[in-house]
Amino acid sequence: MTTFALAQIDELWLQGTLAERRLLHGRAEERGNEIIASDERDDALVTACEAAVERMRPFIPPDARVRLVSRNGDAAMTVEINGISIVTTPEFVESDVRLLRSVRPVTRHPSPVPLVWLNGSAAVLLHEAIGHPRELNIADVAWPEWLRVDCPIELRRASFSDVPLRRMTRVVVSQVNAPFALPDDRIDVQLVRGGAYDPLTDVVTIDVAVPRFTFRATRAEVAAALLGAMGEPVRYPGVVCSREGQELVVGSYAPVIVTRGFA
Amino acid sequence: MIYRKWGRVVRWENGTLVRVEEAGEAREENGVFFAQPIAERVALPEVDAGWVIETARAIGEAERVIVTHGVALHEYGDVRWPEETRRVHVALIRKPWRVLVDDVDVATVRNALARCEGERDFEHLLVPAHIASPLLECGGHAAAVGASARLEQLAGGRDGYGRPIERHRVDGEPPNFYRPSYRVRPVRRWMNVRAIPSGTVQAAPKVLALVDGGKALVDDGGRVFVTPLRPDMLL
Repeated sequence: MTTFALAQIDELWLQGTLAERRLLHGRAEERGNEIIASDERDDALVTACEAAVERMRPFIPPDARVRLVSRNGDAAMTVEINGISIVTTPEFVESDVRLLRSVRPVTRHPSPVPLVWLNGSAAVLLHEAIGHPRELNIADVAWPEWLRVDCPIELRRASFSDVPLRRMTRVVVSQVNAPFALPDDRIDVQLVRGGAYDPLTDVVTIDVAVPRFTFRATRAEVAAALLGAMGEPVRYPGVVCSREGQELVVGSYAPVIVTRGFA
Repeated sequence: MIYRKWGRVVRWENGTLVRVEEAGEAREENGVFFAQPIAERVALPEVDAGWVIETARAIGEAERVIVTHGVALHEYGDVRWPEETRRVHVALIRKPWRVLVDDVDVATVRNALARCEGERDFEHLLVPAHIASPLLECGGHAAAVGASARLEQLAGGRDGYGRPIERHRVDGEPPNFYRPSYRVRPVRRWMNVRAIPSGTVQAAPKVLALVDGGKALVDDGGRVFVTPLRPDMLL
């Protein structure tokens, strides 16, 4: 028998004012293919969450929509300004919010112009194109030899009443001797709003937030579009991954990567 | 005032049986919404795990099979009301389609999907109430459809603040609030929505189920197709 215990506090702050606060706690016991769950309280976990939320509150930007979430004492902050959001921690919130304020969400149409994935944003592309297929045990397509993607898969669940699923714990993209040439004519991808992978069609969908556009491509097309990379992996400010309605934070890192455009 | 909910549910989710028992409360103070579990328990009816397991096993192979039976007791101020739900959600796949079935009768849709001849565009469709209602209940769809079809909210049940849901023409701001969980702040929403019967029903392909990507599986005189689903197709 395995046991899972969870406490979670989340708070929604709108322009510096508390709008919502939730406490959630519970425990699940697994016996074979049966889970028995109840909202039993673990005081130590609740106390750890209270402390984490206290730690995050001083970093709330007063002009933003901010969600603070602590699960069993960890800390995650979703900060939204002008319709664009990042997911961060107290440690990185100041620099991440500076990035958020520095970008302008102009709309672009998908085009063949190469994309330069900055700020670790290529981790989202490969989260969808490599991470989710691995979660589902779908055979890999041929990726460039210079590409390395470390995405450990573990059984994870969002809440005590959820069925644990094979989920990524992090995505760390790196490169070994990758070619790299910065195209003169290019679109710089600064932040990504979200993405999806459909195992039925093998299609990856990426919603780029800055600049604003959406594209769809098969995994083979994504692999063929990878032109090169430069530097060390950079932390991307935020991936909250949703599968089967279960939202989990996935730490994400990638170097600067160049791809063909997806017209 | 405080809203409280005590709930018990048994759920089959892709081969795992989950039993959950929980209770919680929510309150709104000066515009701030607070929600938390409560230790107090009340007597609740048993849930029917046998029905859940038998229903799931009868459905058989599918990309996703979720079957639930839940019982709950809600309380808002002096009003208490019970609720019982039995739900089935199934995703059937036949490349390139993913068909979503929210009904116990999965076999009919499975058989139709096996006979599907391809995609075809139809001018009009007949959408049965059990498929149309969830689409119409969310505000956006209701507004989109409003121009071409008159809608009404049927009476039945209570809303998130314990108020009776009464018959009402879908027009303007919904009078009732939807509270799917004690952890969620209630939002105004039309419920039990249907198109007001009017005119004569023309012959048209009948929607059997929704297909991922804004499409529908339809039966056109015994032949089965997938077609785009647009609000203006409602007769």
